[in-house]
Amino acid sequence: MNRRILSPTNTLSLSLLLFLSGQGALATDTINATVGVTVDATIAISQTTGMRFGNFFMTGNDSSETGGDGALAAARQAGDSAYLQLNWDDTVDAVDGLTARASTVGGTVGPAVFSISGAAFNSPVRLTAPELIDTDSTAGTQDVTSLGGLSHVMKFTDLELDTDGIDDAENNTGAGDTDAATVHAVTDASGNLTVRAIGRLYSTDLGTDNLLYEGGAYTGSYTLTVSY
Amino acid sequence: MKSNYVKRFESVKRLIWIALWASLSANCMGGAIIKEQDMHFGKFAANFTAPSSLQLGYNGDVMTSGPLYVITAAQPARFRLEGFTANHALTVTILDFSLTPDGAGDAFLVKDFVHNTLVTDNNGDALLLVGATLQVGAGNTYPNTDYSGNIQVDIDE
Repeated sequence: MNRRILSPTNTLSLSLLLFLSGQGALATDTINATVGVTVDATIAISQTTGMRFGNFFMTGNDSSETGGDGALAAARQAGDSAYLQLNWDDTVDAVDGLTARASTVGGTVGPAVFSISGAAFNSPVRLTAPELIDTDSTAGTQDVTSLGGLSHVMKFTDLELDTDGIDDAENNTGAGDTDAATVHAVTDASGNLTVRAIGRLYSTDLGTDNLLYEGGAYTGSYTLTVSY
Repeated sequence: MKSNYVKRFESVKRLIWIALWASLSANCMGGAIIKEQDMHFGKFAANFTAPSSLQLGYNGDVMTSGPLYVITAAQPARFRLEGFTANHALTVTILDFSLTPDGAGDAFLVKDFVHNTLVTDNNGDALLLVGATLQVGAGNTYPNTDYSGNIQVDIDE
């Protein structure tokens, strides 16, 4: 019987082979570690100064007026309603309507001022006023009513926004411009931005031609949103 | 008294064990990996209606694409490697992973890893810096919160 026994020589070869195969194998070391990120897409916006039209007299219309390309819900003939136009330079222009009348008598006048803070530095943000940002015929209105509970209602509309401190509006005022509802601005190196706002206050149908709006404080509100 | 055959067999067996030990030693040989700094993509804001990404370089540089805005700085992962083969190039393997929110919401995908050239010094030590790209999926829901995940780094000699 011919037995094949491992000799020291071929055993050494086997050992070497095993050793080398071990050396040739990849030595993998592994470590696990934690990875994180934080999302903070909120931007703080606050009104530091309310919009003020001052003191004025205004009379209402005697019937609902329709047609035309005016700002009041696309249903107002230009010139039908009296209105007060608030300007960037702290003045108000009073413009008579077809029958309605308006006139200013002083008081505190000025644009609204909003402060944006805590946003990403030097980053673009978008401002929208869902109800009425544009001055084209698609603009909506917000009621401005007497604090005393009177039924006399004015309509606020034609909101304009300024984000660069220069006395002009950044929103596109072209009728039918689909981008007009959004104002693009850029925060400063600290993530801050100041926004100013002006608009118009229109007279409405009070049921009696040239009926004077009753005296007292009138207020209304609108929504201004900021997002990335 | 042991026969020559038995003696030879025991000798062979001993050599085999030595070879196996050497082989296993070689397989198990490797250095230590010590984490010095976690990877963190910092704090950012974004308009999540559009796709965007944050690319973190291994040197800490950050680039963004799309409507994504960095609020606080990001930092790459840093690992200290010790006890590896001296003057040897090492291979790094990292698989994609996700960062999930604390609470409900979608996850960010982390991929496209970058790292410095990894060659050990005379002592078998090296420093590994790892960056990556965080991807934001358009239309996903990403609440304002912290997100976390786990990175696994494999080092091959």
